[in-house]
Amino acid sequence: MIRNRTWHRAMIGTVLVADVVIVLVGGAALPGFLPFAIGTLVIATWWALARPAGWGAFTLVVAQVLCATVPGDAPTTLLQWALAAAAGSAVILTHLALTLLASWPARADLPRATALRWGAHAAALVWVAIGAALLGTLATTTPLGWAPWIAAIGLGLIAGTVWQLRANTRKG
Amino acid sequence: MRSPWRPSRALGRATAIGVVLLTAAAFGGRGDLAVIGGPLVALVVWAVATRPTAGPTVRSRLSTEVGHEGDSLTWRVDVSTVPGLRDVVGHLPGDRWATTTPAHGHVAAAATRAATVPIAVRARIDRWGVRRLGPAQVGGFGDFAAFAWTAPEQLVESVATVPTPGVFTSRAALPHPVGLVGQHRSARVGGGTELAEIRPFRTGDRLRRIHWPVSLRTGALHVTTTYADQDAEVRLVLDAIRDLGERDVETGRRSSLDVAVEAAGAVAAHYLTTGDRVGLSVLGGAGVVEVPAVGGHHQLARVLLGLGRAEPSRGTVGEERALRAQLRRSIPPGAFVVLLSALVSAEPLAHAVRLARSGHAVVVVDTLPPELSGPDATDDALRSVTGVDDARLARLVWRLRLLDREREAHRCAMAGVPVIAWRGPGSLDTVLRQAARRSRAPRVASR
Repeated sequence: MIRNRTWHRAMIGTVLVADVVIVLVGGAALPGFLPFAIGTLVIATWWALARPAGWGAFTLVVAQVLCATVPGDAPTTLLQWALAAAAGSAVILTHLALTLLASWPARADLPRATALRWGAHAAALVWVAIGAALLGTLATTTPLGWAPWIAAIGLGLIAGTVWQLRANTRKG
Repeated sequence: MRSPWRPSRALGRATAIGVVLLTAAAFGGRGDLAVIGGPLVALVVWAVATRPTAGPTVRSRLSTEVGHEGDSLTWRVDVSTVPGLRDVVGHLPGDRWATTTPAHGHVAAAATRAATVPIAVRARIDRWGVRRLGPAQVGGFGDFAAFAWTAPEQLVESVATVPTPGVFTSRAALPHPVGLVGQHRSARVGGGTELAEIRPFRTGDRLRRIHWPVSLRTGALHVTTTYADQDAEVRLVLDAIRDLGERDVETGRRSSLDVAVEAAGAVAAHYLTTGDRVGLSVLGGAGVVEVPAVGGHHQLARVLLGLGRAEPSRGTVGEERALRAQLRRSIPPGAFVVLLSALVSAEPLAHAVRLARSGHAVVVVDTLPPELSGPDATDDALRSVTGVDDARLARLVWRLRLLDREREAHRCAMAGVPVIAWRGPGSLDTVLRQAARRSRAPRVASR
């Protein structure tokens, strides 16, 4: 069992780290956007952590998406795709951390098996963001004629993931 | 049939944001929006694909149905594993006198391949009586807590907690032993061991009773006579109409019902060891408790279990009816009645007087805690006892109540029902000796 204080702090830390990543992504695209992004995220984070089961969580995730995407253009370089993957990972981790804070009883300890499963699921979703960014990188750095093949790879990855998912979760 | 699983707010959030981002990415040509929205949509697809549909069944049980004061028990709730169930959370609270570990009662467990997911708390029972654990709330989650289930019923468990009897001994014999065997000397002459007298031989006397030294010395046959050994019935009547005072485990402070239960347990234990029959009636209270008078080792457990079920009255009409029915119930002739009462309710005292007038030996044991009967009662205690918030007014009300109580006790004493305070060993000796003397004294009989 992971003591309630420990997992609480870990989730709050995850949200704060994700905020920092979003600020860096937004700042890399447009440094002048930083003060606005920091102000927005501080207020939204405070609201979300105070009431993770309410609208604060929704507001924080939307604010993170806006702060990461509004300052920049569509990514074309490898660095821009990497920043997009970082932003995607930060958003999904924020969503998962807020979900755990909202659904799990605040005073209850977290079973280690639950923590491991949530960690594995979070890692899988982060890989989805990274995979999407890799596909985007391929799409923007390869000739236009490769598009059908890249689309086929993407669809194949999605189909394989769904098949694996169903095979692993519907057993027994 | 509708599924008992409900989509959570988190699923709605992921769906809304993910779909909007992917739509914007498609129409706006923004790959970064697809990278951010992709994992959210993947989460939604994953959660929906693995969503549980069947409602789990919940089974609750305690490790024991009867406990003793200070015992610990385990309250376990088993939730059946259904496809898609990942985690089970629960709130299993104790009550005022049942301390759970963890104290807040929130527990959680991850589903495994086993048929059930158990969640449990340990509970230490700090006071006798019926301890009710709960109401418990149990819920479960699917993947990503996207679908949530809440058990439709709130679980409540109760455990009868047997009190620890106090210490009591008595050297005085009971006044009206009527049984066939026992350790009390009968008022009548009969087969026994204790010498009554040596008297001249009469027709019908057994030859083995002839006392030869006296017969030779006097020149006429003399026989020895003995007192019969008999047992008695002790009827404990517990006044549970009101419980005055507060129980505090740390300071050792007890309520009137605590004192009464401890005293009743001690008296029962003592007289059962001397071979008497002991019965119990709990007057008033939330449940009718009647334990028939029986002797033997197992009777103490029955009496203690009955005491453990004693609860202060809630003042309902049903309880009043039950009380009236209990007061009408007859008590066998010759039974020694011990009424344990805080002397603040009129009905039990009137019952004691009625029993005394019908020929029973009755003793009233005052169980009001000393801290309430003296002038140094705290303001909080008086507020709790009187229900009056103003401390000065509460003190005045309680003073009037004590005067009324003294008057009732005096009237009882005048009607031949002694009222004594519970002091543990020897508490009843004086009144028992007085009752025995009264029963042996000559009486005026009308012819």
